[in-house]
Amino acid sequence: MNVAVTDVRQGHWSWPPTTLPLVAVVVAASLWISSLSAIDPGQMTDLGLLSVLPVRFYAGLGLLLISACAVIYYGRAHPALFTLHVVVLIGMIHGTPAWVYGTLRYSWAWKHVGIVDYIQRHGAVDPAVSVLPAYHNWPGFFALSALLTEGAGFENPLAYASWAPVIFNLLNLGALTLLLRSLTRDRRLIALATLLFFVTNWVGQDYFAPQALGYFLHLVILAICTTWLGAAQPPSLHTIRRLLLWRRLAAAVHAVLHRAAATEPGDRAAKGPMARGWAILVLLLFAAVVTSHQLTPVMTIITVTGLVLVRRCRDWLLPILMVALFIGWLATGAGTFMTDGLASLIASIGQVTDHVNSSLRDASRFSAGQVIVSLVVRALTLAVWTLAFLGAIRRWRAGKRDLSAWVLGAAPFVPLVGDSYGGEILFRTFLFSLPAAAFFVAALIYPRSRQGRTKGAAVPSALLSGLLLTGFLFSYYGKDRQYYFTSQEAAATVYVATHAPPGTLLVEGSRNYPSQFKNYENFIYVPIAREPADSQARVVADPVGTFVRWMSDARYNDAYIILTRGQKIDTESLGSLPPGALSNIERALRHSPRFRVVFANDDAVVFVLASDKQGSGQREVSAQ
Amino acid sequence: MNLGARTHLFWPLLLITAALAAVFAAYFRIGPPLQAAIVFPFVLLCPGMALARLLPLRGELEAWVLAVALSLTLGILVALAMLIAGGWSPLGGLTSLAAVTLYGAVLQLARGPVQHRQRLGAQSR
Repeated sequence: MNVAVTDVRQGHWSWPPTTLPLVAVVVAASLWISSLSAIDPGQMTDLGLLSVLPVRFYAGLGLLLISACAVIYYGRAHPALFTLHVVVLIGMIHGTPAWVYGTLRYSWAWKHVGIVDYIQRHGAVDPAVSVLPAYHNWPGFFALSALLTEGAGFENPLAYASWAPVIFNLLNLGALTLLLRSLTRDRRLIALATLLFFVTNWVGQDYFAPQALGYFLHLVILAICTTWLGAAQPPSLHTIRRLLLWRRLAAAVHAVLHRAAATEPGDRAAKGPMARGWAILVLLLFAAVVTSHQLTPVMTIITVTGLVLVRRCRDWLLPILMVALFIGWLATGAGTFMTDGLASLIASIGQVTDHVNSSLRDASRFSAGQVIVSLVVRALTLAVWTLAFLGAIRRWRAGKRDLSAWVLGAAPFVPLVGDSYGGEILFRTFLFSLPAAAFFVAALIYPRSRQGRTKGAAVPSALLSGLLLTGFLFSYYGKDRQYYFTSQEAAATVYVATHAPPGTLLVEGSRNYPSQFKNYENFIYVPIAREPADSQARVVADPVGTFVRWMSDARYNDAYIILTRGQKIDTESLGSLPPGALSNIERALRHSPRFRVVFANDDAVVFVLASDKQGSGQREVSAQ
Repeated sequence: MNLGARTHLFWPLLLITAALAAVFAAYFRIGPPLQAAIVFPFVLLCPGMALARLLPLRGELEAWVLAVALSLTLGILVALAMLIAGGWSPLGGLTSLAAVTLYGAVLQLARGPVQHRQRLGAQSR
């Protein structure tokens, strides 16, 4: 990537344009690499990975950030040098867990491996499957992963899935740069916005998941719309008056549209057959998005529609065709899922407060460390949006209208009206608004091309980046004690998956362990932590009696209980079960003659009914 | 052969080589890590690069970003087509992507150095 940083000032003291920043990058990378061997994820406390990162890791991050801000400010270094800073930053943040953990981070990533496993075994998907049906109705990402996995000769995606955050963030770096170039010609603003994006993107939707792929394609689509399909001629005042009957409003809108057309880049807009070619390319990319993810197409359609309305995208037919593609997939490939879910979706439209609240978990039951993490997440989110608003005002007062950026920032708030998206809509809104938010936050430092002539611009940008990065580290790493799993936990799942027949009941402490990544469709899952309060109370009071009743049910061909280290950490941290509940349950089962252990290691144990011979008539196996 | 002609030939020849190597590696199942080292870059980059370099772009960043986006898209669509048609075949999927790559590479060769000089001219502005 070449983010050329144009020189904007002569400093009072000289700044070697390339050597010193290059040395800083090398030193930062060296500090990082030397710190990796000292990180023991098994020692994480309630503050997650932060609690085990050595001081030199933080020193390397700080040095990198200061050097990057200096490179942006002085603007005389080689363009690729800033790129190198961001690449190393991505490596440090997202490569550290991948390298240090040795296993796939985050329980949902394991479930996604399970969907790929399903496709590899069946060569098909089952839209009517009872568990994880959404993935079978939007299978694009998983189908590609299955093709890659088998084409590369791997048994499953576990061989490469851990590195997905590094890959997707590097891809986003390229796409984001293209998008930001269509918003401004000021290369300092582009560079600082890029840096701020990566030190504030705490949402963590960059793992082995359809959202990560969808987000990258979404950014590329927007970049095409604002670059090669951008810069439409604003309508005349007469046309606007016919739409907006109020004269003053029409005049104001006309002034804004023309000011935006004059100040935003627009020299790359294609015409004629070439423009149609770009539109076809957009629709092709959108087809991949539509078949891979539920929410991203909605965000893309709303954003592109907004760009068309403010005449920052000239192809008015594009949103219409995108809607047609989206509805077409909902009616066909995702028809089974929509038939079941449409009624609840319609009922939830307009419940904005409920959707927002569903994203904000009740932290009163959290452990102390998780309360801190939760508060920092909310503070960081609020801070970014507030700073972005202030930056947008500063740009407006500097004569820049930035209509494209306003649309990119505002459009993601529209889906708040529609659905809670499983309690995650607020965080997804933050994710999709972040490119524009980072742009406007950067504009606080560099509101116009000639601004930032004093030494003061470098210091605030470094301080701002450092503060936001601190919040990011809490937010992104703060739950890693739950997200980290050992190979021994995974071994327990493999044991159950390879011994259980279809129609097996699997009682779990919680969903937080390497689950559903092998033969996942064979099981009926009952996580204790998600049971209703009265059912949980019965389990906690009498685990032996309750589980005997559940597991003796003739509807199930077999039955297992799996309790792991990760489940215990999860329930303790989030308060989803009384303190020590899972340990007490395990103790009760171990001491009960009605249960026997069929698999055990330091981090997991699997129980069956002692009377159960079918499928689990194995002696106790202690795994490595 | 002048520098422009050599530069113009680089990507088409690389793409053709990568396509043939990927199909060969998958067909003969040479096994990871070598099979992965060949197939991964091919699927994630080559089909899209074969088509993206036919577009009027300025600079390598645009080419690489669009190439990866297009490659992922084509990979998804090919894999989905196999799922929907009930003919799941990773080798078949790789062969389809290789066909797209070869098509784009041949088009680049056929368009010749004229288009390449135009692209170099666009990059220098």
